[in-house]
Amino acid sequence: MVPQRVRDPPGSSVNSANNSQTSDVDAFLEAVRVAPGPAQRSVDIARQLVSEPTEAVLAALVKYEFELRDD
Amino acid sequence: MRFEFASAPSPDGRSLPVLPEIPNGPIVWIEGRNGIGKSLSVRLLDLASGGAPYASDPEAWRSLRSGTGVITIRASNGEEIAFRLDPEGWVDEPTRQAWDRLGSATIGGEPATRNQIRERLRVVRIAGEEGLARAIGSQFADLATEVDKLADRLGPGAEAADTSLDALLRLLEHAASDRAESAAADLADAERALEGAVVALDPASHRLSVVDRAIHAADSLEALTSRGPELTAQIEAATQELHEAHRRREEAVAELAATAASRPGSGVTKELERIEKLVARREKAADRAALEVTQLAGAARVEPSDQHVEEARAQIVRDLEIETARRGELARVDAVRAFLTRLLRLLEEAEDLDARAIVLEVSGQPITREVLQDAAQARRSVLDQTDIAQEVDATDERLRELVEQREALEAVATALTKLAHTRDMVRGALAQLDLLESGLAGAKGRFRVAREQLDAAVQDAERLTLKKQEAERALAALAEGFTEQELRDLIAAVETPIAELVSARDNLRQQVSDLGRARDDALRVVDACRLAAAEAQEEQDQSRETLASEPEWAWFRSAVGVGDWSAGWTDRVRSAVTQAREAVNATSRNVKGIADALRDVSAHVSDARALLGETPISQAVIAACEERVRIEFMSEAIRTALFHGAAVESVDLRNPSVSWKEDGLRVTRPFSAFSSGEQAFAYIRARIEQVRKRADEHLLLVLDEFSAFIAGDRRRLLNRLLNERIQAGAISQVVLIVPLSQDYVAAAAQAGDDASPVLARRAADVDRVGYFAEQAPS
Repeated sequence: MVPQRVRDPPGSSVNSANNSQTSDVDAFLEAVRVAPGPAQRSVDIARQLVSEPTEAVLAALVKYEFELRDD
Repeated sequence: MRFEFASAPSPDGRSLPVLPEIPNGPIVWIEGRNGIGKSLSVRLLDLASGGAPYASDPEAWRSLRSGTGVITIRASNGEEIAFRLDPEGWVDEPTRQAWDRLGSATIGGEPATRNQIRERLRVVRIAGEEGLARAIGSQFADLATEVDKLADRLGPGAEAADTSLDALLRLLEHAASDRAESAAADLADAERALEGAVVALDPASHRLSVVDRAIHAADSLEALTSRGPELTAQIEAATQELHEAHRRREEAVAELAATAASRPGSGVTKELERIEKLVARREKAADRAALEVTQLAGAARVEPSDQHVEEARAQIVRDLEIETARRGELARVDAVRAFLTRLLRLLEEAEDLDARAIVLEVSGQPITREVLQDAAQARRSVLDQTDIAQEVDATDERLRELVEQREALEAVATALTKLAHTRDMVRGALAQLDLLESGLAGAKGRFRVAREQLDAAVQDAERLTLKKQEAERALAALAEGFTEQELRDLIAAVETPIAELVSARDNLRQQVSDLGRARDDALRVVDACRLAAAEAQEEQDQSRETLASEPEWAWFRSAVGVGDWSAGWTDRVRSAVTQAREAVNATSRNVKGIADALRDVSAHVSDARALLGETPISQAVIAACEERVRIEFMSEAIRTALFHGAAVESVDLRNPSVSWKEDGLRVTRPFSAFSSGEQAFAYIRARIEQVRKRADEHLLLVLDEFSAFIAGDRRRLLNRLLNERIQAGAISQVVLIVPLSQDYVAAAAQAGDDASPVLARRAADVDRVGYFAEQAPS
């Protein structure tokens, strides 16, 4: 049997069908984010990469690192 | 919502039982035998609607995958949602199973996405047999699945970001000054090295050439002494032979001139042409004469040959004689008739002449009057009967025809004679032509011989000239253009004894060879460095231009602005981009790490598996999980049931336990200690209270294997809770699944006709499909 691959219609949110589960995951990720460790930045970047254009994320990342190195 | 299930056997004949139906209703009670697929049906529904019921139970997943064929599920509530699950394409790891690859789904007959399904239907299953630890652990497994999905969604973006940053770093590397500067420095070094190699090589080469010349001079001097006289003799001999060859050449030239003089010149050629034209003309004339003969012979109706013409002429002559004689006879007929008439008159008038009287003698034969009269009379009768005029005309006509024919034959004969003459003329011209051509051939032959002699003489002269030149060159080579004194001077110039010259040269050759190789290597290095420097400069210019103007890098320009490409600025940018790339890659790793840590914690809490080595990420995950469980435990129902109302201070998942204060003292208990029915029930109630649907989804809450909670007050409390949640709009539908509480079939049989309708229906359903489903009382 060939599995069907059906695309969501344009404009539909990737997360719209999973709001309750997504909010549960979001809440958990937020809890992970605030815990000490490298998770904070990774969670922030992950959220940005799934919800914003890649170039915007990269611009913010590079700008942050660049300004961090401003003498 | 009503649900229908059907399963087909796998290709090897295996299949798993499923419930044929879960009826519609706010709270549906399903009581059935073990092994009929109650829990399986719910798990399949959860799986099809986008859940992950096997996330923490990979063994059950693999057993399902290999134990059944296609499974179809229909969920209808006005709108029909249909699923077709085909284990053929499922992966081994349940958390890696993509929903798209489970099979297919439709809504109202149209293909549907996972999101579209999730918008309409969600299944929450709470298993009653789970203890506190397993219930908590399974939450983390569900979270791990959701984080995995986040990681999958993150993948393309992270990969694109990494690719973009990698490309940017390469551009920055090329745009940085250090590469071009380094390449320029390398080029300068290589050029200096080349200069050094050349400086070292030149004097050695010069010394070598001097020694070489000295050695050659010594060799030349020796050769000149030993071979010079021999070569001189060769030159003299060659000179004499050459002189002889020249003489023979002169003789051959003279002979050639003589034969050329007698060779037919242009006059003979012209004569040849004239005769050839004469032949052509005469042949044409012969052709015309032949044509005339043919035409005349045709007109004369005679073969065009002398013999036939002569025979025809003879015949005509004979015919002419005959016809002429005949004509003569015809011409005499009137005269004869007239004579005969006169004779007969005379005979008639001579009446007194006796009839038997002899009137004449013909050839001595006497002829009487009677006889003569009868004969004359007969003859005149004949003549009177003859149409003389017609016969004369005919004879004249034949005579004329014969004359014409004779004239035609005469013409043919004349034409034949002319043809013969013309052919004689052609033969004569051809004979002249042959004579002329044979004369020419003879002259050509003599000329050719003279020419060959000349060529041979010339070749001899050339060969001898070469031979003489070779000998002269050899003699000159011995001295290499030097005089004997000059050779002695060359030898003296090296200030080295002649006997040591060869070894000195060998050493110098080795030295020069080594230095030459070094120079060649240095030259190659210079070429390579020059090319590299040019490439580095071009790359630098192009890379800077690209970063400054290409739309693809507009985001980069917005982040760092336009720089001066100084070393400091470039280093700063490269470091920033490198670090940004590391942050992106760390994100992918850490998100996966979060999912892995969740699975690790789930297995540790649920099944007491040892935790894997901790990382900063796993520590953050454990901390978040602990806080999550602590907040969950802080619900009033759970605090009251489990902790006597106390506030939970902390949860420790490394040693699954919870801590609170009782009477001012800190109390810590492991999860396994909370095993009483009351405590488990309280936890379950809290979990039910946490379940909340979105406004437009059908949230199906399944309480599976809840027999422990249906006894006595618990059932009443549970019912009340469920109805409250439904009426509050938090839950759409509840399905309670419990094992058979009695042997309904036996009970119905025993009751016989007295069996209540409810018992009878239950017994019939259990007997038919192994379970019954009813609306639970509110």
